[in-house]
Amino acid sequence: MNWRLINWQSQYRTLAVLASIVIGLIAINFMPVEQQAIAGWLVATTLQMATPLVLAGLGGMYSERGGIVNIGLEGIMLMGAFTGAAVAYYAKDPWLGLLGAVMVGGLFASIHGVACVKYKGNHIVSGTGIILFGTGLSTLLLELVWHQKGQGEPVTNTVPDLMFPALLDHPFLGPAFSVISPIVLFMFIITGVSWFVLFRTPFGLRLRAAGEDPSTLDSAGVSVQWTRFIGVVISGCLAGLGGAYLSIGFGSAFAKEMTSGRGFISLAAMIFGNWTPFGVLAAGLFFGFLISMNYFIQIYFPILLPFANFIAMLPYVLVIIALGLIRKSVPPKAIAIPYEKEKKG
Amino acid sequence: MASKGTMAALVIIIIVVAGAGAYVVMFNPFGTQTRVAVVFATGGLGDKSFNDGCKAGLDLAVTDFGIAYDYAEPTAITDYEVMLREFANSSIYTYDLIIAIGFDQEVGLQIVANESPTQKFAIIDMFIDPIVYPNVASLLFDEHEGSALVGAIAGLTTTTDKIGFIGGLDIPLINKFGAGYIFGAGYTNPQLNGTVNILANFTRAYTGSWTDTTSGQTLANGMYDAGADIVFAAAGRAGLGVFDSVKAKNVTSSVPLWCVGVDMPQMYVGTADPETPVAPTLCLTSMLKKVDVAVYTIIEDWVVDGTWNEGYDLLYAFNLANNGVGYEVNEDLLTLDPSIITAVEAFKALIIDGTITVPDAIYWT
Repeated sequence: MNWRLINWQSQYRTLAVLASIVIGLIAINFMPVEQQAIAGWLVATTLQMATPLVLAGLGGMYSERGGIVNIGLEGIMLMGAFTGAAVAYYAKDPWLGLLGAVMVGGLFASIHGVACVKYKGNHIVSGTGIILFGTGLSTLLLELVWHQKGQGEPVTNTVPDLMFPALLDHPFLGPAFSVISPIVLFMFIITGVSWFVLFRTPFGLRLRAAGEDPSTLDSAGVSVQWTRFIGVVISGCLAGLGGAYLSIGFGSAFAKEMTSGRGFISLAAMIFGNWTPFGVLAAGLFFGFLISMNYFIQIYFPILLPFANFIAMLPYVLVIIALGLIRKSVPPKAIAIPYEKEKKG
Repeated sequence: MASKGTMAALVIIIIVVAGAGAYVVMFNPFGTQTRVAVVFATGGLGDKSFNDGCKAGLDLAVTDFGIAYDYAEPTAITDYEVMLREFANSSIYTYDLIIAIGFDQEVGLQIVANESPTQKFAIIDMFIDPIVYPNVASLLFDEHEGSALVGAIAGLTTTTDKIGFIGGLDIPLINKFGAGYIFGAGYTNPQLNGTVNILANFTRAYTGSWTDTTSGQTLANGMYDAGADIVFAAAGRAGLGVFDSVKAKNVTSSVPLWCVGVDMPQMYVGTADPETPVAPTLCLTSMLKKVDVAVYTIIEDWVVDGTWNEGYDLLYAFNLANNGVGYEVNEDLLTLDPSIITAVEAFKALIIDGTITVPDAIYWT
């Protein structure tokens, strides 16, 4: 093994995370049975709420690592959610629905890619356009496909949950993991894969170079434009998948503007996670946990109900505190700067 | 080849003629139909409850009275004032009546009603002082009475003696639903009566949005997992998430789980395929808030008959006595036990004759 590749600081961090998970599991094991069930529900809800955030956040990471700001995730997620539901509705196959969502997500992001990479447009303007376009088009198509306003017809063939009957009787693991969506598991897999792709493959190196120092990449004989474009398309694919999780993984219908700002929260998760795969995973899980805390408090601590709105606000306040006071997130250097060959000055 | 000037003139003529044609086709300015304008609530059409109910009333008025209506679907509270003013000052039509749907249009409506004193307005779910604003009719519902009836059904049906309520926002209007619901449940089920029991066996939560179905679904999941077996949602389109939740959770649950619909008859949404509803349904009943009747009534009174009340007669109340609220019975999808119906009808009679007063705000702390 090449020891120089190992960042000792991150090794300690990994150890700390693993240790806290083990300690948490042991602590949960000593709790009364009812409380274990509640903890299990909290873990399950955290995973459900985090999945769309992490998937879209990882997508945003691919795009921004390549130097293209992609604030259009919200619009792409909506298109993914719509396509997933529509394909699953007509083809009666959820897997085709997911595939369609990934493809349409990628296609939608490629509009952003062409505008930003080929025509060197302003990333924020183009991204805002993608949000508006995605929101409007998905709403319009909702009415065209199902002749309904607001919410489409329920999809009966949704992505089947994985069942682990062996866990069902355990007070904590039962509610937490006995019924779990394959997309949730895929979220963990894709995080690992993203880490490998980004830091251990030539493509990842090129993508990061395109975001940090595109002229070096260019002088190495690699097309900056194509590298960046591929990064944007991957971001669309993942955001589309995240949207499809909402419509055919967790829910069972497409509803107008069903992402409710999750695309923006996933951007925050990406920044909070410092543009690294495991950082995005951790930040997404953290946000998912805070969102499910909001539900948890409402259901189990009615005494705190008057503060429900305050609690709903907490994630955003915590992010501001964390980013402003504790740690600076460092974006890729050449982000949002169009690359021009032999630029003067 | 004609000269450039001729070509330009031709193009201009074509555009003008086409524009005028489109204008006539789209807006029919020569028609003398009476017109009504509607500004919907932010939940928007397609919630299968509140806004769709208002639209059903309008559609019925179109068939019965031959009126026409235009509508706007705002997406934010700030849109209300702009859209109301647009209709009030419309240069294309004079609207006989502008209907504002939803409590949160209060401020916008007051401003616009002040600006256009000759224009008649109506608002659903909010009290606007008819002495100050003699051109605004308020259509008000006693939602707590209808909710008490579905609560009574829930209290008799529950097997775990735990029930839940999901609201859109933590506001007095929505808490009217929740308070009536638990009051009715407590009337028929001693396990849900009294402050101690309510705190132990009744969960309420709020989605914080009228549109976020995912949030409604997650909250309902949590309530079913916490032991509640009947969840009543009054959260507009966000409440539709509860139907997803009950369908998913009922598969693995050891006790039968139910949800309760709101505003419109929603029992069909609880079936496996709502397009062609067949029994069984997982929606026990629906609390009916007949906004369609309210919209229809005000159109009939003013637009058709030309009666505009004065003073406190401008407040239209819809309650159990005049059948403005109620509960859904759909024998095709689900037959409730006759003893439940008898008990609920007896409870209803007591509310109507005033023996029982249903609380309209949270009465336990």
